[in-house]
Amino acid sequence: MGSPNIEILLLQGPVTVAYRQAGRKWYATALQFDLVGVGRSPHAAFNELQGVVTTYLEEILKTKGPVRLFNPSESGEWECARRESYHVAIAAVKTGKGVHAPATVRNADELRRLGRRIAGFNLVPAASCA
Amino acid sequence: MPSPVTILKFLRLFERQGVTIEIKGSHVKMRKVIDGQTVHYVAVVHGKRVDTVYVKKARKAFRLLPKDGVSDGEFA
Repeated sequence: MGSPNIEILLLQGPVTVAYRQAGRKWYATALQFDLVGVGRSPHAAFNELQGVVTTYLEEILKTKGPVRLFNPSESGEWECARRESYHVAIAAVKTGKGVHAPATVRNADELRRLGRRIAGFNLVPAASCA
Repeated sequence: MPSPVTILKFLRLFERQGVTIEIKGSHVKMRKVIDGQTVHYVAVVHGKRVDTVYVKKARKAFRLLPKDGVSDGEFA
């Protein structure tokens, strides 16, 4: 059950997670950001990636002035056979003034405008956002 | 896959390229201003080592590849 004081927004566009294995390690890469999680299973690599994406977006929030949000992976990585589609869900505290943020956050400026209202980030399967 | 690098070597490699680094828990938070825009990257420390995938990815993020004029020797 969700809190009535929290609204869930989405960062515009999907986040594609590509999985590959090298030796005993699995790598989960968020292709739109080129961020990586490493683990002994795809699940472990994805869990690590969740934390990396959260830290990355928290750093974007703290940055003043122009900032690069998206950093796509090299083209060859997009051809990976094992891929899953996610969205970045943003948990934001409602203002209580009847003013709600747009359901979709389009860029770093809009993200930073939410500022301290942001309670957290999460990667959620794209299908669950339909 | 090449062997992971030590966290100390990882820090040295990127700090000498002007990348500012802060470590929080297992996350290595990296940033550099490139062409007036702040670029961030986040790597992960496992034990005292950093997987070489993060060296490769951070070099790309901060434009530290041979095509950017930085030789592989700088990261050997």
